Amino acid sequence: MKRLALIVVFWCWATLVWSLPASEFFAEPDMLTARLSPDGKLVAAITGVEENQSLVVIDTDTGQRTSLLKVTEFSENEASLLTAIWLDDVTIAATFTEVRAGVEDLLDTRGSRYLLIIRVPQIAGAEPEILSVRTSGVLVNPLPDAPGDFLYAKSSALSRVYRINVDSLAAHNATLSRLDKIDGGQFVRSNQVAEIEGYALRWFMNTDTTPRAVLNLDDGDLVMTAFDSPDKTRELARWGALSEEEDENTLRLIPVAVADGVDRYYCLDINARSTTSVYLMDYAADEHEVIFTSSDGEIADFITTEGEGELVGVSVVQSGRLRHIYFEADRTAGKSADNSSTLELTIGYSRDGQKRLQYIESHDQPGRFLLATSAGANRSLGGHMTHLVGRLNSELVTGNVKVEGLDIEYLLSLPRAGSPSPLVVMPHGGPAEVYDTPYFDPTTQYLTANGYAVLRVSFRGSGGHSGALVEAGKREYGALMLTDIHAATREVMARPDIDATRVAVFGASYGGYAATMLAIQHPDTYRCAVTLAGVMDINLWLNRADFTEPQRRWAREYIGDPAVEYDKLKAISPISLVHGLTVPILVMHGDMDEVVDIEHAYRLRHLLTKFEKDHQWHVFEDGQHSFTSVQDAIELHDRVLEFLSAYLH
Amino acid sequence: MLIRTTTKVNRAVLCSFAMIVLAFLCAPSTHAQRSAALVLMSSQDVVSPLEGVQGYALIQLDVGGVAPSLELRRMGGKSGRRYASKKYTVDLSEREKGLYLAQLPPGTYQITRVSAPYYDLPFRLNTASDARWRFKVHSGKTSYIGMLQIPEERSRTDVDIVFRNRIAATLDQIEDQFGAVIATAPLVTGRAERDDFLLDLRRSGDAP
Repeated sequence: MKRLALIVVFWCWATLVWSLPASEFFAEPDMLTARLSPDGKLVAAITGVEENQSLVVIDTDTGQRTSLLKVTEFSENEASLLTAIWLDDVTIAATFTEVRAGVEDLLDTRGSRYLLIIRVPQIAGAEPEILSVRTSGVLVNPLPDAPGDFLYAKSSALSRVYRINVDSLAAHNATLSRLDKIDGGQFVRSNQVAEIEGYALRWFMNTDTTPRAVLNLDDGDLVMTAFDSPDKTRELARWGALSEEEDENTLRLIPVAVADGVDRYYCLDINARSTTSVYLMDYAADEHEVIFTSSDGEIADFITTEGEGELVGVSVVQSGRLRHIYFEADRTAGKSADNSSTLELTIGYSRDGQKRLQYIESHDQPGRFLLATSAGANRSLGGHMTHLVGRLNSELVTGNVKVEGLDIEYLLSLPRAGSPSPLVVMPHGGPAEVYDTPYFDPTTQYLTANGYAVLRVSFRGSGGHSGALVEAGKREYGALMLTDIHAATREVMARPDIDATRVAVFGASYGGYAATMLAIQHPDTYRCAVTLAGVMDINLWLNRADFTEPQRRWAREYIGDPAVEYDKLKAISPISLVHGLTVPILVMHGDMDEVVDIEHAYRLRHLLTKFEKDHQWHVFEDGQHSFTSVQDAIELHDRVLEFLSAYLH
Repeated sequence: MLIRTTTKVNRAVLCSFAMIVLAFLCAPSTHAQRSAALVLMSSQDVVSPLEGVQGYALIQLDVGGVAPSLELRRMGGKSGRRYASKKYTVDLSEREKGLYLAQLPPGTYQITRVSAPYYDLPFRLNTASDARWRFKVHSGKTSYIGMLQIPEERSRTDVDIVFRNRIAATLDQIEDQFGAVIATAPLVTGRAERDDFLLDLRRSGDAP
């Protein structure tokens, strides 16, 4: 009887842990970004996405949330809040964009971008005062220690920075009379704090409001000009047209944020195929290093703390949406110094140092914002998938395997199960310079929550480890990259907590290619495969007409040249080998995928049908290369889980 | 007086020269550039049978905008890289999304320009030197050349024009709409770059 009771308890626990439907797992983020007010009494946060977006303030003592601006109530148009920072203890500056009617069919006539100035009401229940800056330009320094003042830059043939006071601004959308001056007539010489000839792209200010440097256009060149004093400048760097010695591999590190020390800046390489890496550049020493690489999309901007301007994260563009990623700037790209799977960052301090705003994320806990006090109290404010906090519980194991003299590291996520778990091998996309982090990955955690162990391998070509690993991926697209993944799989299969008879492979993009190839090559290991947006015909992918010339050159060098190596590339393409596939495969693709065209999936499907192979097929209508909508994520993961359950039972 | 006479003479010379140039430009054959409008046939039209050694070019269109068009030329010469004098223009205005056939002499063609004007904004893509905008027409065959997308929406400076190889994604549609045509003029790839997909799909046996 006691034994029966134990079995029932275990069954209930297992059901709770192992059966988490996608509809309960995937949800829009509750909180995208948060900022602590200088006095530490409030946190300003952007919550929700798209039409559900709001700007809220949270009382750090009581936890009470007050909505200041709801996007749908503020604008009838498609609109969004991009950033929100504190100008002083009660005033927030928010960057707001909206799509207006514009000229028919001309997309760039529709976007409008404003700097809204929002005063937090000091009386409960009162409406916030919302002002705006009507002069086109950008906020360059919130001057948190000068209440009501901020620095704002206007760019033209002569670019200037002005000190603006909030009190002279008009209410947003208020009709001005003939006697009213726009923005209170503050864009005058007496308010000017810096000036440079040429169109300024970005200003870098010292904490005392004097200019530190400016990135501007000069006679067709891009120039980084340092200010030794407001009147004395010196050229730090100049970028003209690419010289004959330069090519797409030549770094062009353009500063985006100030780093500690003289003439040190965080930069992006504008000559890169995609701007996914953050560099720390020391112009005085002419030295640089990569301090972070995003595997989630191109970097659009940096996230820095108010006042000190410390770099704490980046905004990336993923399928048209802005996503905020936090990281430690002093850690090596994607790899924590202590191999911890927990990311714990302080992203804001109160003036008196008594309160800190923290961002915490770990392998099985999604990112969340916490308020920490010097007394040791922590208050959770919100985060990315807060409904999952405390519901997930998996183990993360790191390991490595040697393949052809190279150390191949892997991340193995294990459900806390009492018996050996089926394994899903998940090769990442890219493949070049993309990598898996030990932090929260929704798909991995969804699978572990449903009882599957998940293996992610840093195969050669992956970023986030070493230049040698990236370099080793050259021309190994269908060769040693696959060997690396399979070698790690075989090693993990030998573990007692893995059921080696139940292994599947699932990947997207290059990962979809790898999944299909591994299933074809090793049916004794992989009982089924799932490919999402996978490359199925390498020649077709390399011959795409929308590759730019640098992209074509890179692809020819890194993967191969279809004009002279067609047969070689064909021999490592799934469509040429699919007759040998003996395990079931689920093929999925978005019909609006601009990275790997849906033609790849159709080619595979025709051949799977021809050779009468066991397969399932799904097209995501309007689906792009990355899936950002919750509905698509739910459908995708439901289908994957159903397929895995059917073939790994 | 002398000047006036000279002027008169010059005017006469100029007039004669202008007439010659006009005649030269209007001549229906032999000289410089000739232009012909290419007729596109949808599955709703009566497809004219192939004449002589000609072949069909099969294109999939998804084009929007005010007056999109393209220009193409046959390539020839010993090197195979020179253009023939005749320029074909294809008016894509108000073409419904779908498949279209055009009858052409066999050979390699280069799409030299795609125009997607927006009223007085002349959006043009010069593709004359890009081999990815090249296709082949095979005698007596239906040569699939690709899918052309010109979105109606664009920015003030750019329009995102794409020419894709979508033969597998379109195959069922081709067989559905032009089954009778490809029964007599078999479907082949008309892409300039090598593409074995259709051959491999139709090859009997396992290995491609």
